[in-house]
Amino acid sequence: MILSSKQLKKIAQEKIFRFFGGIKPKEMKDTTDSIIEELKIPSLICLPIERHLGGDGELLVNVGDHVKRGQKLTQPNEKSRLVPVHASTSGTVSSISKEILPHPSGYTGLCITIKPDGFDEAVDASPIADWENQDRELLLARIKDFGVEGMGGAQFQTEAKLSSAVRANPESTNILIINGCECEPAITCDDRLMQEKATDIALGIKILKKILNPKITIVAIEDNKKKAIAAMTQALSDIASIRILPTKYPTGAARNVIKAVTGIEIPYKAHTSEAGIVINNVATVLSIKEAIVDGIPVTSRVVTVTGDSLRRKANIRVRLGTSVRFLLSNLGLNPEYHQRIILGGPMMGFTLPTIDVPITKSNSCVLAPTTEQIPRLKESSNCIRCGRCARVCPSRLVPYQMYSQSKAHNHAACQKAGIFDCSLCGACSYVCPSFIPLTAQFRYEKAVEKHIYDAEVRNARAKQRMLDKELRLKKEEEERQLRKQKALEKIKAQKEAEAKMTPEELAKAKAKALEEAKLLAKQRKEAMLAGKKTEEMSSNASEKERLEKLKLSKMRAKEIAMHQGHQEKSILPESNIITEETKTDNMEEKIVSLPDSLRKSAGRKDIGFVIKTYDEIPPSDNKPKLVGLEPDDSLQNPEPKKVIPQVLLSHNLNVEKEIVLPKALKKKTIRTKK
Amino acid sequence: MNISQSQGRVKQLLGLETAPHLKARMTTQWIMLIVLLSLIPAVGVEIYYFGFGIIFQFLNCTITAVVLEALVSLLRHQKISRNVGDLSAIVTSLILALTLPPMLPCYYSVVATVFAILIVKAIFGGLGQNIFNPAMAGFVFIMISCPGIVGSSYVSPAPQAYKAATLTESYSIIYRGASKELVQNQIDAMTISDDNQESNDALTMATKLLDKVDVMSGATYLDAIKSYRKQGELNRLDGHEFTSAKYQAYLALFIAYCIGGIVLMSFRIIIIRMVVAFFAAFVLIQFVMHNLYPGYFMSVTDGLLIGGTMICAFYIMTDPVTNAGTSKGRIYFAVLLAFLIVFLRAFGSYNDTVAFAVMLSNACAPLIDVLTKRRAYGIKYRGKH
Repeated sequence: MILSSKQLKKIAQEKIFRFFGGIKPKEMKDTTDSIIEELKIPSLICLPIERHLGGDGELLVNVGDHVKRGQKLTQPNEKSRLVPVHASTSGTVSSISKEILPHPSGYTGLCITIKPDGFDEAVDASPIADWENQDRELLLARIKDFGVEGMGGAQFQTEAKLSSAVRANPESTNILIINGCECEPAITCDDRLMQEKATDIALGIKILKKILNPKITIVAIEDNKKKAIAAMTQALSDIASIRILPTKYPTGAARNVIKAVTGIEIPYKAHTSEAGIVINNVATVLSIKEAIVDGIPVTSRVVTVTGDSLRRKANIRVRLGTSVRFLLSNLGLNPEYHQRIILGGPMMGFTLPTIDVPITKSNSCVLAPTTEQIPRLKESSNCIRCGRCARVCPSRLVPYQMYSQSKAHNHAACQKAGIFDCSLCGACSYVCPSFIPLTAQFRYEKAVEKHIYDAEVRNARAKQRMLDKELRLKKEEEERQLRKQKALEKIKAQKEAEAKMTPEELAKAKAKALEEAKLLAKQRKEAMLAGKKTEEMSSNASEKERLEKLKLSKMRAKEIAMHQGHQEKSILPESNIITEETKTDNMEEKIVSLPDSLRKSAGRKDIGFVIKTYDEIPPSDNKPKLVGLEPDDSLQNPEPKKVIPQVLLSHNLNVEKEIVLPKALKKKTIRTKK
Repeated sequence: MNISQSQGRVKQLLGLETAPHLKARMTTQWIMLIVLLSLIPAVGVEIYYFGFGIIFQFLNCTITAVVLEALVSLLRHQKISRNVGDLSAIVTSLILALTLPPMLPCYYSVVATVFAILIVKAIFGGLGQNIFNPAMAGFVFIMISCPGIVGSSYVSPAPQAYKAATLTESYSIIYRGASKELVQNQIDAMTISDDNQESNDALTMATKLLDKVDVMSGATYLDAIKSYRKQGELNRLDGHEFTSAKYQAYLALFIAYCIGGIVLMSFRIIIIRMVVAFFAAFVLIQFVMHNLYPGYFMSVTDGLLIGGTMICAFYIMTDPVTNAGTSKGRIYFAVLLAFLIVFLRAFGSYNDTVAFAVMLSNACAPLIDVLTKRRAYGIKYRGKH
């Protein structure tokens, strides 16, 4: 899509547009004047790698390897848009295992855990010397290779965004917007970055301009950051123009910034780069500059740590993979009863179920509020249809109608009401006088809609498969008929020929035919045998290799664990791995008959499933039995570190997960007609 | 990184919440409280010009409403404190008390409240689920089922009527079933003595006599209007000086409701656009129709000041529950209501038809909801380029 020149002229006149809705929550930006500090290196660093590996990526390190700061740990597939992850300090890889991720539900995911050695050695910096004269492809490759991702919160791969914009408009992008709004309350990390590193950000903008060649470059900052505006104005004298936007939540969301700056409403189903608009966060711009000019990959980010439960509030540069626990204990957390630790701002952040989770590139804030600072949510009462939510929704939705549809499991009506346009900004829940958790319901509804969509895609695929099969069968049937006809004709001809022959000739011909057939059968048998043999050979070799590799990694992990004083113990029961030793010992086949209800839902008519189980021999227990509860000494003797060598290989296996539709979906799964 | 684990179970020691964690200060309870407080001037005016009857009506309605709410929440296994504590029942009963005649015997107001709370509100699912405005439905119910007693228990207003209709007098009329004529005569005497001091024209004397006759037969001003407009001779009825003692009460009520409305608007509880649309539509339609058919339609000032137009504009029409959903829909709703009020007042067979108009437009609200949909975000995007 190409913007009209009239629109561009309007934008160039520094006009500020208004977007619909928005709220003005209390700002709570206490850390505007605290300088960005450097945090100590923690005792363990845990880097989630599933986002940096994809389905077919490659792990570049193994347990026990020594890594340096900035060393690449994973290499995703070249075709995917994923970026690699880099070690954030030097040390030994102590485990590659499933750890708890920063997620509201406490999901686990594959992580690389590094035990830092304290020297913090770095790989040699490799700056691109004269980037001004380099190719745009080289710069993009560098941005991807050095792990630059969106640091505003969505963690979208920057290289993917830039190159899609370049692909759409090869000569020149229309508008480049640098987002320094930071509308979320309590967060000040972008504000501080703009105050302290304005010149570096300017350099980053120059690099972006080199790549995109935009017609207009705009830096958008909210008017409550006076110092940042001053610093940026000084640094960006002729590089970009600054727009000062009125303070309003959620101005910082990409579509709202675009609307406020250009007056264009980009629908939620379209990408911003399609309209020739590229929008990047200031922290991302800074990391682009670091990747290209300094040659340092992304190994740290600035995090605002605030809240009244802390002794000290600060903006801190944190190594990626540092645990939230380490961060909070360094700032003196004094927890209250059922202390909430919010990762992200108070509007869109989520409470953590545990604080032993790593900081990743998307986390900009850790908030530890007291009940006085942010009161706990109250029980909701009935909706009185006051319409406040509809007046503040930046996506122009009517949230309370959508809420009632969602509560009634009316997913089709929910889609019609525009659930896909909801950006989960939380403005509706903020203003609701009845304390209705609108945003939480919409989050749930979105997950359900995704489920429905996936099920539909699966259904369509199955249908297509059925059609294909029918076609194939029909074709085969036709061919068979044809062959039959031919054979019949042949027999007929033979019979006719036989009828003409004398008995001696007939016997001769019969013997000849028999011999020929015998020869053919022999040849076929030989070929089959040979094929089988080679197959066996190759499979044996690969199996052996696999087992050997497993054994080796196991041994190695054991050595490391012994060395580091950990007790070697696996999360998975030992017997799950079918090695040659265990195969013969305690394997039992059980026939389990399913209850009727389950069988029906599984669509199976036969009576039972054969389930192979490998029973563990119960350990002989010589200890005297304890009376009452076991003593809880988890603080004095923490659970030993788990090292799982199996996981090393398990990420390569494609485990097919059975997907069961939730109960809610069984009721209504009709989609709207387009 | 180990999760804090003991005896195989994960202990949840941190507080968990869903985003957003911040919350605006306005709650349903506050909204209802502000509505109640903003009605204080109107109640004061009512007491000054109509006597203390309103206090007893309010008590009647409130006690009935609260008891019923508690009963309903017991039946529905809900918290009593939550259902009664949102104050919506008290708002309903106060509006009902303001619309019911001040000297209505107690059991009528109780029945009206029972209908409003049980049938109109609780059966549909409680607060926020009702289709019709409970107060108006209760009022309509009592007006249709016993029009005689409702018509005859209105009081013609006079300044300082509270001196005649004192607490004890009102109590005996409402609870003991005493006749209201004595009190009414006292109030009328006040008006006439006031007017005598002001002027002594023959014409005004004549109208006073006419009024007196009306009063004796138990009719109020709206009754008189009705009997004139039935014959299409409304233009023969004289205009009224709203500054004179006789009709001062209506002007005072107008001002009191305006003050209440401004309070509500300043707290952003009601949408200003909706009120403006209502008044604009009302004045326009009333003005045009009055000039075209003066025999049937009253003048704009009469239409605004007399009857329930003002309380409807600020308190009943703006009830969010029974309203249309979107802001655009609310404006259409207001215009429809203004139209209905003007026309039902000309051709309806009851004295004041605001309640009927409100209920009719409430019934239209879901339709308005369907017809006024918001455009989705970014819909212009494809069309423009």
